[in-house]
Amino acid sequence: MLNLGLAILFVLGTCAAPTWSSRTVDSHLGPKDLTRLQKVFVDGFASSDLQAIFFSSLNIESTDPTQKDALCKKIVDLHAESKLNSFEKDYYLIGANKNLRCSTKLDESVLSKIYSALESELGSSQEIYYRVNTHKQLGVQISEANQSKLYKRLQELLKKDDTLSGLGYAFNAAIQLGGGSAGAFIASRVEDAIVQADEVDGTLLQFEGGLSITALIINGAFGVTKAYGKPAPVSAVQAVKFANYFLSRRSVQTAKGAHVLIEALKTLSSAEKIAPVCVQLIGNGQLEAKSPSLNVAVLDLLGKPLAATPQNVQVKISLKKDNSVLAENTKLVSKSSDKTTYVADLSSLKPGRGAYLAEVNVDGVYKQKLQFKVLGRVKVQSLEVGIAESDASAATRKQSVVYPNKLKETLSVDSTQKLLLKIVLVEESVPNGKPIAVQQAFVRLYNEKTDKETIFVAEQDSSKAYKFDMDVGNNGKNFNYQSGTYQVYLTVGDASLSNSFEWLVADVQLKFNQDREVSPKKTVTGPLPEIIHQFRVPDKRPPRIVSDIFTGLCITPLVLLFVFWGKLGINISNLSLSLSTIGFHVGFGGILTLFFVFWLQLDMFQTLRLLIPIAVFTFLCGNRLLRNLYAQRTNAKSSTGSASGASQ
Amino acid sequence: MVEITGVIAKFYNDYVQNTPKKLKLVDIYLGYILLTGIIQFVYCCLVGTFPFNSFLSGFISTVSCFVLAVCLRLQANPQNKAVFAGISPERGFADFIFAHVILHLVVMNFIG
Repeated sequence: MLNLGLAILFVLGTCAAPTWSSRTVDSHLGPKDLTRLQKVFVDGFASSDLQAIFFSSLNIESTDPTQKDALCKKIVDLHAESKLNSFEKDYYLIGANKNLRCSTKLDESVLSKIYSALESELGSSQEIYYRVNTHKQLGVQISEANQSKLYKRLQELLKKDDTLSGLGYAFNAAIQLGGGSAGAFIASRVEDAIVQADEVDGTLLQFEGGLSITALIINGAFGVTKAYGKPAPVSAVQAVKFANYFLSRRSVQTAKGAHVLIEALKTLSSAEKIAPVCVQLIGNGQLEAKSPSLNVAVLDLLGKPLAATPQNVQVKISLKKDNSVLAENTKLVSKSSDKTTYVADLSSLKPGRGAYLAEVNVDGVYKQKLQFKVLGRVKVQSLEVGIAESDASAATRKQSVVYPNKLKETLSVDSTQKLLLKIVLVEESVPNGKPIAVQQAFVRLYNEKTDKETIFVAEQDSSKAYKFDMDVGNNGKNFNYQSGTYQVYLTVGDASLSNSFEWLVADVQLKFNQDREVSPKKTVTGPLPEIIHQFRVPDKRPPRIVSDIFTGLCITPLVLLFVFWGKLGINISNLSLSLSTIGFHVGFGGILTLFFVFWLQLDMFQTLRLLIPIAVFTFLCGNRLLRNLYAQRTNAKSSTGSASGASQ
Repeated sequence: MVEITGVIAKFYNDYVQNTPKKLKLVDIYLGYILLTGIIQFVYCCLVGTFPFNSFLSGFISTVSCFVLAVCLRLQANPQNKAVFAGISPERGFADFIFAHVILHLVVMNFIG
């Protein structure tokens, strides 16, 4: 149930929203913008861009005759080297030549090319638009036959190419062709173009391709519908969104952009019944509580007064905080000196400090919501400065100071004491008013000698008075333990106050328990100490005697080995004195000796180099020896005696 | 207690009588290696392992020699003939020597 209620409220809310800012925008092309656009056009003359020169000449007149002559020459040169489509650069040349009222005659070959262009088949609606427009600039009438041929061609082209730019140029070409029943089909395509507009954030409407395409279509669509007596192509809501888009693009930097922007805004504001108007506050939206007068400007998109002077401008004012209505249907009176300004004196309403919402209603047609603020004035009702013992062993000594005076004597506070401030702020316009809260209330302690300051926030207590309580002993760190004379400033600020202030309340001598001279840190320049690689410090070795004993111990089993082998009775009688036997034993001994030498002095490569021949020799001898032994064993089946054992 | 001494005595007699002389030789060698390894271990427990690489190479040397000798004994044992059918005791001895050459090359390299 609750959800349903919320949903209904939401729907109602969204429906209500457009009714409360209808057919209005919150800005217009002001004098500043016009001056800047003017400058864009002036810069256009100086540029070496044919298009820029053309659009500049279309909008401003060149007054300097020498500049004019130079421009007339320049456009011919630029035309020759321009890389634009021929139909486009021809149009710019003819147009600029005409706008500048050049006395030089144009080249016959160029002109004849232009005249003959209409006879050939034109490739796009853009080409048709430029060609027709060029003929118009030259003052040449297009024959009936050619006109109907062009319409036919346009119809063909639109069937194939219904892109936005194709449609836009077709609309504009139809306007230039001057209407006629043959072109009625174009008017029926207006809707196709308008529905393709993209909405941004619910506030802007534009066509893909930016300012020039949007302006092209809007100008064309309005022109075509007007020529064929159809209703306006966009609704009032859409018109507002298009106007918002154009106004958002007013920082445009090119001459063409500036021209189409102005044209489009002119088109929109000249559209009857749907033209958006601008309703805005004059000034920064901050009214003084003493003389609150609400100034509202009602103008068209180009900053001119409305054609039909508004008769009845009313405003409903409500407090933003709780939506309580302060006044309904307050009439705004037209200022005699300025037709666009409407004024309402709110002093009879006695608005308090705060933010307000003004719903302006112009003739019941244009509605706009505006926000403004009424500024109040703050007054210091009382300020007490005092010194208390940290351990509350003695009574607090308090003194009052009156704004904007400064306490005559210098207070002295040491590290066992506290510095106290108590401030009560009230609104000036309300007699015997309650203490008020402000956005900023700071206590700043400034040491003139060291040019250091420390800022504390004053907190509001339960009685809404601001309190500042600083234990000197505990706060030494904040002051770098710099004892000395500090100036105590009170800073009070708020966005809705017209007299935010900073007040020097008193001088205070702070004494911290430890004085520390802060010496500026020395920056050391020069080489850093060299980094020397350190090997791991070897562990302590055991005494020499222990190592030697264990070395001896390790050898003793060897003795035991021979003793036991002797007991067992090694049979070395089998040891024949053949070459292979001696070779094997000598070779193997050699290898072991080599390893011993390797341990003492050789490296791996040297060792391997020596090892290979010895190993090969030993292998060959060993192989022969063992083969003999095997043969002996298999022949004689003698199982006792072992050369292998002996070789160990 | 009597049984245990009896068992040990019987085991010893059996060993002395029935084990080939060749294997006894290897067994004595194994005992020697084991003793050396134990002495090294006692040293490491008493004094410490520094320098570690020397200790390690010495200890690895004894352990590996022990393992290689056990392998040799297994291959040379006539009872295991069925298992190592293609390997004669001579071949086993050759492998033993070859493995020792490689092992001690590494040990000497590591001993530092």
